[in-house]
Amino acid sequence: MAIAEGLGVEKIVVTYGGVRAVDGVSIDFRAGAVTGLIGPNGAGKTSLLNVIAGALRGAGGTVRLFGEDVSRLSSDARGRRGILRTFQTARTFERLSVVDNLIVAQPEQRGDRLLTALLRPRSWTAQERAARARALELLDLFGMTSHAEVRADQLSGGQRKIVDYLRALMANPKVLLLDEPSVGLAPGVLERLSQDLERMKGAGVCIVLVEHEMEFIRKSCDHVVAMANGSVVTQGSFETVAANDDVRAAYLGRR
Amino acid sequence: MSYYLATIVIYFGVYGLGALALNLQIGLSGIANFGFIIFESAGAYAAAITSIGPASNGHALSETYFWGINLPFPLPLLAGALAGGLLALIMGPVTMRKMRRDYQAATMLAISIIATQVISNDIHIFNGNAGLAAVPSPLSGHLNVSTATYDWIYAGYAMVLTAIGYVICKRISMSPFGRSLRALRDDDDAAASIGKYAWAMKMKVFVAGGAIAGLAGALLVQYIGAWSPAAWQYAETFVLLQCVILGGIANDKGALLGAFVVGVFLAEAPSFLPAIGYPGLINNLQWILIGVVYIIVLWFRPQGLIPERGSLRLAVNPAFDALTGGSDRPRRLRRRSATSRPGVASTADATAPGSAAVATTGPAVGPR
Repeated sequence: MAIAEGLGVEKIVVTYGGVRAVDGVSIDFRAGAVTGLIGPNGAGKTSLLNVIAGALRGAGGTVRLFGEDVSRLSSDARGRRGILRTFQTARTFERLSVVDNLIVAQPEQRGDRLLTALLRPRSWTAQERAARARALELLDLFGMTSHAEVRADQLSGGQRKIVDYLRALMANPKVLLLDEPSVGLAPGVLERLSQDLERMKGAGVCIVLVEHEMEFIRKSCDHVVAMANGSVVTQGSFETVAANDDVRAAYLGRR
Repeated sequence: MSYYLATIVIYFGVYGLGALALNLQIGLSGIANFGFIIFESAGAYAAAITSIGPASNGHALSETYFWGINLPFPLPLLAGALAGGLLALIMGPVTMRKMRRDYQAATMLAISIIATQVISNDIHIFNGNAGLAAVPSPLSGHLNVSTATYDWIYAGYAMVLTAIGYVICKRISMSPFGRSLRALRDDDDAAASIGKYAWAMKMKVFVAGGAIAGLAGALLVQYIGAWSPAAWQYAETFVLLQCVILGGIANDKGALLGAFVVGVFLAEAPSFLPAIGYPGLINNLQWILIGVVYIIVLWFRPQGLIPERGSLRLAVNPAFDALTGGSDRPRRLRRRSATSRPGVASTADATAPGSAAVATTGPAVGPR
């Protein structure tokens, strides 16, 4: 089965003071698949995610997007290349409405340039309406169209998570990094998210899922990577990883 | 009385432009420009030295700057805007870097104070504390009118500039670019994650705001005819900041309302009151009042009199469209499309007839 490599990390090292939070991790994340990243707290999962997204500069290692080295790019440049992420604690633009939180992520908006906004205000309206229609379609996936004009700071924690996720979708992701998306979501909403991940997978998106919710992992992931103490313990299908003694030991804190 | 009113109108224009520009930076983009007044001042000095002419023109106070250049209207005004923008361009690379907002505020404030000290103490730059005087009023030699009439003409001119400034700021704030700025202000990490390049965006707004500030400074100095460090102490920044906060942060109308209430009534009108008590008492009471109003506003209505719009509804909001021309209005379409004649809507312009209905229900356009 030949599946294109979507995202590759090689020998990533992250140190906080003297602690090596990520210690030479190399993983290939395939496009059109969901790769789960599991491990106990402090295993280095979120640090790895931050390095991939460019939010954290690692002490070493390479990040490749479809074979191209993006290690030196800033986080916004990676965002434009299609590496999108969500946050562990959902981060929304508090004083923007829900629908504006999504539209703002629409790439290549003509009106997103100062001079166009100043001199040619009519040139961007058609594009804006198209983006708005698209944002409303995305909100509809999670039954949130009625909240479209609500300010983001009025939302519940679960709704924020969804807005955070949909904002990433709005930006046309090639790689989607999800940091504990299940936290704060009602079971029904989690089910919808699971279905939506299938949809994104079908569109060829490379999805990386950092999670603690094992049932969600089992249902959603094609491949699971288990980390502990900054290193990869084992990887494979959910069943093989779950059955691995080292993984069990890591979660239970025994060696 | 007429002089009083015309002066008030002109001050409203100066404060209005300043508040609009500061709002663009601090309200919309979260740039803590606590040194805002130096951009106005740069504009004032630039307008002054490009119009003041040679020293031998009979005014004892005036000095020769720029080889005694005396540019015709409206070039000194544009020089003011240019100076404000240029100063921002020079300061921006350092001050627009990613840093905590309180550090940014402190940096700007420090620069503002240093600038005032340098200009005050080095008489070779802009004549120190004595400052510049005899700055000519634009076209004063060409318009053969009384002083009172001239004041009203100048007031009208100030209002035109303010209106232009308002449209500029509105077009920025109610555009996708403005929305990206709001996003950046609310969470710069999340904005970066969706591909927004914070430094470049902030630089643009910093320079645009600096240019508008320079324009405000030029407008003021050409009216009052003199400029010195006493006119741009750091505290003036906080008067403008109060305009923005009281009017409504990240709201252009609010900035103008704030300029009217704070700029005109709290900051300028008291100087027309008859003297009471010891000399300078009114001036001191005025600063106390400004401080008290700060506390009252932040305590009881931190969002300001006209709060920020919760939902922007860009391109679907008729009110916004009417102002910025940001809609496919029939009048505009006619001019653009060569085939249609006035009164005859072209069939190609699907949005022309009943565009309001399209605007409110949203178009049937699929995702890109």
